[in-house]
Amino acid sequence: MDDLVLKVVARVIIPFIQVYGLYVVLHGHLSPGGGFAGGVILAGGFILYALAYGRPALDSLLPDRLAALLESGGVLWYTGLGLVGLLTGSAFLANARAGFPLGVPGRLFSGGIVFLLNLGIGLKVAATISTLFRNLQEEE
Amino acid sequence: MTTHLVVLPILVLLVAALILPLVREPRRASLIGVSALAAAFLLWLALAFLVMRQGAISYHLGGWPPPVGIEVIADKLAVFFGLTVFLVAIPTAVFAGVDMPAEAPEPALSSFWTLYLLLVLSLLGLAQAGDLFNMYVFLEISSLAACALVAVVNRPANVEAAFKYLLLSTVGSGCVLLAIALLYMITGQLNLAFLARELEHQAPLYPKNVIGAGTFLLVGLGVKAAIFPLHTWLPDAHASAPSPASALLSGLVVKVYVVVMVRIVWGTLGRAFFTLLPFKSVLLLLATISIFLASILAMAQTDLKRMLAYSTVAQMGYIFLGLAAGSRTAFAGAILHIFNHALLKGALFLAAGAVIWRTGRRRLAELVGVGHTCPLTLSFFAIAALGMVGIPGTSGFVSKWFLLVGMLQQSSPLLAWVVLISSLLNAAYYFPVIILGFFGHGTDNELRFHLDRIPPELLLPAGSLALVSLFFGLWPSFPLHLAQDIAHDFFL
Amino acid sequence: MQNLEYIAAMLLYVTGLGIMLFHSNLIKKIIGMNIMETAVFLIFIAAGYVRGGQPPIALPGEPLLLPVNPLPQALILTGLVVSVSITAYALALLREIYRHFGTLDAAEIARRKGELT
Repeated sequence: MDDLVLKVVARVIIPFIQVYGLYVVLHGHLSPGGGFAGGVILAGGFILYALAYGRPALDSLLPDRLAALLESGGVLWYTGLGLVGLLTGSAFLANARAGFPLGVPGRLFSGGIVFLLNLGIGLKVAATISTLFRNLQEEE
Repeated sequence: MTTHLVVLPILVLLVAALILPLVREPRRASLIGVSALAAAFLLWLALAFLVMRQGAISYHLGGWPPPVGIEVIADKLAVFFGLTVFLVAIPTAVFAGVDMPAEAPEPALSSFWTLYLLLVLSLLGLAQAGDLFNMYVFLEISSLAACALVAVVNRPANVEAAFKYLLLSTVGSGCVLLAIALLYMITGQLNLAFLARELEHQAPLYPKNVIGAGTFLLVGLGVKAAIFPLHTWLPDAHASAPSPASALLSGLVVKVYVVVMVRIVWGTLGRAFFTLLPFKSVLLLLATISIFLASILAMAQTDLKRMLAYSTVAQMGYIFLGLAAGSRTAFAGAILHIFNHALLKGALFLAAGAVIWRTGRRRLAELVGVGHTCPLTLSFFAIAALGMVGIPGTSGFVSKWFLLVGMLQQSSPLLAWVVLISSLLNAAYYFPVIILGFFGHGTDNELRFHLDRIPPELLLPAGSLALVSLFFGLWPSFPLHLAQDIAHDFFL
Repeated sequence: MQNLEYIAAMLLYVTGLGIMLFHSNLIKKIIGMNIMETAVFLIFIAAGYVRGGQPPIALPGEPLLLPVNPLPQALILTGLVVSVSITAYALALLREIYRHFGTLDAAEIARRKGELT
């Protein structure tokens, strides 16, 4: 598919999609949204990129290996953060009790572990959804 | 004091399952898989020891106490089922290390191990879940991983069976979620203990919600546990899956939904529930039909693994029969049968897998005389098959005995007949395989006896499962006492 | 008219189940499955709805008058995630089924499978 309109429109809106996706991921502890919702929006940007510029372009941007790394890494990051609570003597996935700084309520860097967890989930979901799309699209 | 042992086995398996997709060599994938299972098993043994000594442990994720936080429970039911899981999953994993490279293409191997570990951890999670939210999540992980294991081998029959399985189990999950919604509407709780407390007041006020929830639970878990009208997916899926996956699916996965049912229906919904709707009678009827229909269909099969799959449907019928019979002894028998059948069916599928690996044949007609080429494997098969029939001395005898005694105590001889007559039916389809295997003359007229030319990694798992089940048939006190304790805790 | 959303959800549920059971095209079965799941999600969300409720996010200086329990939403979000992965997996299986059997019609597939064995 080689369509000029699609390419130009994609070039204009993809940055906005990505920024919005990041916003939703990073503000998961402050407003509705979070890792999954934001990750899907991020992946939406990748999918649009693949549709407008073709599969090879996406493959060079997000190689299979990197996607697999992000997918596993996202959950490993989550588990690792959970284990911090275990090591500091409280419970798995403990937040303030495990020593995560809570910050000032309402600011971006607050919520302790929640902020970090959302980050991992966001990356994982973005990688997973784009991999799903890629695997299903392969046939062409 | 919280003890982290409750969550550690699941975490070990999770981390290993996530590292596996990054490993490129299949040889190392199976090594990681088996060692992760072994590590988790050791942790689980420590947990089991702790639970036996000081009773049930409740773990609060993140330190948040229950109605707000997530509760993970390690009680006797969880420990019992977890031990069953590891006893079957570890030999099966050893078997898979040699068998899978022969069955699946190389790129599929690492995903096989990821799915295998995810499936095992979801079974542990389901047994330990203390609230409906977690239960639903693990329910979905288990059904997705199970479906995916069927289709790891990309053959037409597998893909088709996996699709059928996926559709039906999604309907099942939908029904379970609907039941959760109906319960949440009237109680506002998802934690099992709080829900049970709240339900005592609310059930008389909103009987329709409770009746709806019960019906949807029965249908939802019934699909997944393959009870009579909802069993149609099982023979296709379990017969076409690669042999180690069949052992896991038939031995463990269908049974975890019984554990879930015991926890929700008997442990939470309680007495009010049984007075509101004829749950037990319906279960009894369906279980009886399951037993007879599946046994008769098993006799009609021409494929070895398909026959074993139908036998699973029949054996699930026994478990439901024991749960619903209304006697504490039969309840304990049903719980014990979960353990025994898991070991026996695991042994049967692994032995069948080893025979298929050696001869490449799986039609019953072609397996005549197979005892001449694989005498040891067929002996293990025979031990497990005798256990299925319930010959004294095997573990199947103990659980069937408790079912029978329970039913006679309940003065329902009709149900006792169901167990006895269906045992005859079991014999009718298992014995021909063994007798013809050892004494029949095969097509290739290979009459000379020689020991199995099968690698020990295939032979030992099948053998160890068969011998362990034989051990627990002769000295059943450990699982039996555990099952009786569980019956004491949950029976209503 | 209070329980309108439940009636709508049940209609959706039955529609989805009907499509799943009675259509022989496998893609339509997946669509039916999705409609059915959506109906269950709708019931759960409707059960958790509070008229005039606020999101349960406590910010300094803004008192929470009527915070809504976020549990149903959280559970349904999980359900959505599961639904996405099941749909993706089902579609991947369908692609392989089409490659093996050359059709997506359930009856036709059953016939060809009979020929195979």
